[in-house]
Amino acid sequence: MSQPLPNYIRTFRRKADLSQDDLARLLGKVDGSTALRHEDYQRVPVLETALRYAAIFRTDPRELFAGYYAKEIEIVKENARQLLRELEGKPASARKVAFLRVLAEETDMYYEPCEE
Amino acid sequence: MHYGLCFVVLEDTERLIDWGGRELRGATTTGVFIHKLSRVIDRYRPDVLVIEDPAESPKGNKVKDWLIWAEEFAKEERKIKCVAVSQEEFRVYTSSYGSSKREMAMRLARLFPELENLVPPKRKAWEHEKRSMRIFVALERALLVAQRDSQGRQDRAARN
Repeated sequence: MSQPLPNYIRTFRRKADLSQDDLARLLGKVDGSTALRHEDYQRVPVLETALRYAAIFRTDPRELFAGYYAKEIEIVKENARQLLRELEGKPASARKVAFLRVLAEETDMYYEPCEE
Repeated sequence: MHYGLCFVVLEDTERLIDWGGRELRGATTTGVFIHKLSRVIDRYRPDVLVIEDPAESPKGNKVKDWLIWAEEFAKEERKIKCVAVSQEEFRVYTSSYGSSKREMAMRLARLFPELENLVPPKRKAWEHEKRSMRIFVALERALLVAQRDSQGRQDRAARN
């Protein structure tokens, strides 16, 4: 896969030998249907649930939700470029411009699979 | 007669993303096979699909037809590279590591501990091979292709 998957919940769950119902219990949900929707990329978990997943699997949310994270990075980069364009010819602090440039051009922010 | 479809999904050859199998029985096996395989492919959008070479497979015509269908589906409909591994190449590769399939499964389970509970017990002479062995075969086949690609890249780099 040249692109990261939206999330790796299924991979982590199966590695831990947990059922979807087990995972739902750990998340504090009634049944496994929510976890199933997250696993199948039908729904993006809300922040609280995303952090619970990260806590359950004791992993970095950026790794667990690598595809979503990569997508958000692209949005942030484009927004930073837009802001830089708007700042051209206007007074702006050097620190702010430098920060935005790093944000707009940062390539290290791309997803890389973490060592387990 | 019943058949099975087993798969593994690897990322960077070191990370096992998913694995599974499905028994296919009765008259609807082809439909279930197509549904299951296309679901896995569409879920993971792999760069490469590795299958057993239908031209040299000792399996029956039905399974060969499925393998040919899988190859065409990957190449034509999903634009995914498909690599077929012959039975002979697989045998040579596996035997370089150990003598039996069970040894192969144990070796792979050491590399991917999440598969430990799928290593079948030692088989009696009169027993059929456990279905979980197919997952190890699929994994070994994928690793064979990865090693072959890596070797090819090294050879090309050495020539340049």
